[in-house]
Amino acid sequence: MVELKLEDVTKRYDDAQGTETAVDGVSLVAEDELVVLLGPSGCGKTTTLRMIAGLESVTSGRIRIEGEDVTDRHPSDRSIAMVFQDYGLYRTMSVGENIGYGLKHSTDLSARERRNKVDAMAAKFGIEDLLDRDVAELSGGQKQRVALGRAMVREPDVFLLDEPLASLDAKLRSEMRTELQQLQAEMDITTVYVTHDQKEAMTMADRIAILDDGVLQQSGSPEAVYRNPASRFVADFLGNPPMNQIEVVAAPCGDPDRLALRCVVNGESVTLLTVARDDQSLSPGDEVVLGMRPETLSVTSPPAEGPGFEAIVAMTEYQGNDNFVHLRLGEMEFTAVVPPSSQPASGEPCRVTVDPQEIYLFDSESGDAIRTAGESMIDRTLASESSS
Amino acid sequence: MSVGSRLTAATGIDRYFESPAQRREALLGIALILPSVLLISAVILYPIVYNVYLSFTTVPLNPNQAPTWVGLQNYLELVTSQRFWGAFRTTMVFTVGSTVFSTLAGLAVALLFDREFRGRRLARGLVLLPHVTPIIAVAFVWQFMLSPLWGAIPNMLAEWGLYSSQTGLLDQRSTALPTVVAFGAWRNFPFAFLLFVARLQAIPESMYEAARIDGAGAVAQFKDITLPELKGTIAIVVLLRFIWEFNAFAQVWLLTRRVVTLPIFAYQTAFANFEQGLGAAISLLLFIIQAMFVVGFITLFGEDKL
Amino acid sequence: MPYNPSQSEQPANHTGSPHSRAPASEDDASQSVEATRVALSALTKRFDDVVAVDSIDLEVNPGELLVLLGPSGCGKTTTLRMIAGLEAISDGVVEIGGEDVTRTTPQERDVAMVFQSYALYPHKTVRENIEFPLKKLSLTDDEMAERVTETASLLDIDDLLGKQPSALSGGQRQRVAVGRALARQPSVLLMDEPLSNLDAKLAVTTRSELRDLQQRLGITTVYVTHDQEEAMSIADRIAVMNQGRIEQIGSPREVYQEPRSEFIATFLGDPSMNVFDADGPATPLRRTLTETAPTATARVGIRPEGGYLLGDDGPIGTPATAVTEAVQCTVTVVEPIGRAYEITLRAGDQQFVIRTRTRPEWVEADADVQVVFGQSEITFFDETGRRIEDG
Repeated sequence: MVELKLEDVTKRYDDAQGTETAVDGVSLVAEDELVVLLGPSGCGKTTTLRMIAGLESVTSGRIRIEGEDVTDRHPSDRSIAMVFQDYGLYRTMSVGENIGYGLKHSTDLSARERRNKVDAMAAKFGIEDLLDRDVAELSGGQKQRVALGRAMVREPDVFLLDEPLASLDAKLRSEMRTELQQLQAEMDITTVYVTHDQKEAMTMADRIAILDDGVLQQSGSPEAVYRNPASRFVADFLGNPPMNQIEVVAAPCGDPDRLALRCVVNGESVTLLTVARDDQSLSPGDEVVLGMRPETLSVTSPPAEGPGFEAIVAMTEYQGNDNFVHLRLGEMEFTAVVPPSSQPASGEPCRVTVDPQEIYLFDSESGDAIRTAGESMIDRTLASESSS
Repeated sequence: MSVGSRLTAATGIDRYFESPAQRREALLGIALILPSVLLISAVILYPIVYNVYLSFTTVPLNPNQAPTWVGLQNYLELVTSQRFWGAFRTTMVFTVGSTVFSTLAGLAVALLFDREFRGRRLARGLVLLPHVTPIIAVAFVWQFMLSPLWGAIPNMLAEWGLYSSQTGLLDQRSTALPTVVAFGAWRNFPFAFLLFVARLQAIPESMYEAARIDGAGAVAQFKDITLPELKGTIAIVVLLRFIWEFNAFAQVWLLTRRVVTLPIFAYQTAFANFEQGLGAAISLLLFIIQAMFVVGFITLFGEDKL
Repeated sequence: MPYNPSQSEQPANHTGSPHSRAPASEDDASQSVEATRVALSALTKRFDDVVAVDSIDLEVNPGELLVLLGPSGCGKTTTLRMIAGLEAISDGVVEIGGEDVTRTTPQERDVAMVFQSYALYPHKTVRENIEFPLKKLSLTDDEMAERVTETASLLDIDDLLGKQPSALSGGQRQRVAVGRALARQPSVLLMDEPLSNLDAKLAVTTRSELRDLQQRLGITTVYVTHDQEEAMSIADRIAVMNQGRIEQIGSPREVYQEPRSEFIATFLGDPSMNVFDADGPATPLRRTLTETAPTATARVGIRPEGGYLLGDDGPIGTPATAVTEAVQCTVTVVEPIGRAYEITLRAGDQQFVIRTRTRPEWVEADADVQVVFGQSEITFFDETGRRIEDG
């Protein structure tokens, strides 16, 4: 049981242009789980990881591992191990020397004990036959395994990974992803994993922490964050294709119990859908951003009468197990994910419907979520927790 | 198998003659490089061959008389001469000394510069000055600094009690050679520095970071990462410096006449004593010694690592 | 002016704007028919003893976007470079617009290429980058300026014209690279992994923009990638390459649903097809999958979306066909990917993945579940890895 705790960790750089805040008051706890730091490039996720590793000094805030303040400790005294994006293998040493190097410098083990540990670790990663090879002779996947072996051999309390799959090709990446997950689950080790790839984050994480501009936006289980994003940024960042976001105005409609969400298309006001009045924290005239997950849209072509709105099919991207349908509504473009059997023709009109339960609403100015599709799920969870 | 067919097989030319088109292309290629080959032969091969020829002759002072063939006499004279072996020893001391010191100094300064600091570019430019300033200028500056009357260096050495002779450092055989070595190292360390700095920047930072996490200190990082990464560059620097120092003439000659290396000995023999045949023989021996060194060096370190 | 085979056929294109190819009106649309055909026959590339491209035949239809797809080292980039004229051709013929261009230089081929690294001239502004290929066309200054403006508005980079490439983001650089390629109005556009330097998110939006642009211009395009998702999204047809040969050519749907070999079946699709040996201990899973197997079957495959969890009211999801009997499995991992779930299951000592759009709450790690398979979605391969057609 190892707890990694970041308390209000901040990193500022001073340069000629002034002070730049790379990481701004990030607080986070990870305990025997895999936490993914996710965000676009330049969001501060790698800087955060490097501060945990001790490779980067902390401007303010504390980092604790198992309650001990390690903020000012040398990297080798923190009981962490790190896998770098480019692996950072010692190019002039053999595989065996690479794995054993840390043991040699930060333990009192004899050469024989070190050798045994290296052998055991190599066996674990299936690289026993490579121990005498030069690092330069290895393939990408092998380098990856050596880097993992080198990190794990010291039995760290906290395991840090900086985009470890970024330099592998697609097939190898998904293989290594599975392998990493199994390794982490098996060793039950507190792990912090940095990536910009939302799919990698969704599939690997016990918990996702999304950063933007140095600020922690939201953290939670992948599904919870996906269903219940705190802001437009989070909603847009998680999910492929990303969430469709459209500015709409709430207006009264024929039914007094319902509100219509309308937007302007070619100078005309079009109703996208209607929502129950009491269900939404909305009043007529409110301007909000409507979010719709592509997979919650259903597309009927040719358009039949019914709820929803009419759009033009711009193009369909076949994905094998899904079709991405790009739709055009006036100047606006959005995407629907439909089963591959449904194949609307390009240039044809179609009817698009969405379940009002599945929509997201955001404040049009701050971007904060007003209502999310996951709220019903959370209500359910809370209800079941209180009853138990 | 005839010599011709063996040659074609060895060079792989036969493969290029599989079809008429390929043959035409190959012939065109040969025709295209022929002029350059001829030109290079004329300007490089001819003087070398002529030098070899001269080393077996005595060249009379009268330009209208042809050189007389004397066989190995010049070489015999050299290998039995004290002056030749003296010059050889001086050359070796000078070459090894200034190669080693310029490489070490270059490495040290490069390590010092392998970090970000304000004004790094300017500082790097300044470091290059000894190497790029015309040698005639720096040689005079050094002579000035070394002058026993007003030079700063003898005065300093005298102050520290290291040196008290009336004779200048450059005017005395025992001190002239170390001084020339020091001058050589000073003038040429920027060359080593340049190559080392470029190589150091190509070492991924993540290796040092991994080493820090692994608990390796600064010395271990240098020994286990930096030095092995620089091995190839060090070999190249040493090889090139050795070749250049071995042939060095101006940087010794301009500073002092007390240090006679092989190139200077050859020059004196050929153009001061007008024994051109003997001079040619010295330069040929110089060439052979150097070729032996280069071949030995490459065999030792391996061609692929250079 | 360099030799330009398409010049005489397409005078309108070279005096008009790049927009003139866009089917904005009926008249313009008819012009896109004049796009150029590219044909490769027995095209071969040898590097010393290694055969990088092994006698491939390929015809790219006018106005089509053809993707060369394959793992690294399969020869796809070499093929593209031979079409461009950047790589000497060991054997075979390249025809562009009916002309044999095998022995001509890249300038003479009227092709444009977008490189993986974009290869923008770093010391030139965006405008100068786009102008550079136009300088060879002996245009007047006005015409040149007009071309640049049109190209810029086509790619939405009007604001960037005065900037240096180093000041641009990855996505902007990519657009400039495409703009530079299109400004000359080439008859064939070649693209070498143009999205691989963009982050995942940007690559997805950029690829649909590229496709849109290609369709508007109606320009014959050969596109190289190793990313199967990108290939399926963007291609009219995909040529799957492996070890220097083309294993299959067809529309994304054909290649995905009727792969000719196990290689193709597992290369396309994410998560990739589950494949098991047909012979071995008669586990329930193996028995179920090989029930209808032809005699020559050595391996049997099932796509993740061909497996369905069995709920109280039958299979969850909508199997297109009859389903097999249920197999008892244990859930090992549930991975949400947003629009679907990927569920790793264990049956005996065999692991496989299924993909489902919805996940009932009782499906979680270590849960015991029943799984059925779409009868027609089971794929059989013979010993050599070829798919057995009517299995």
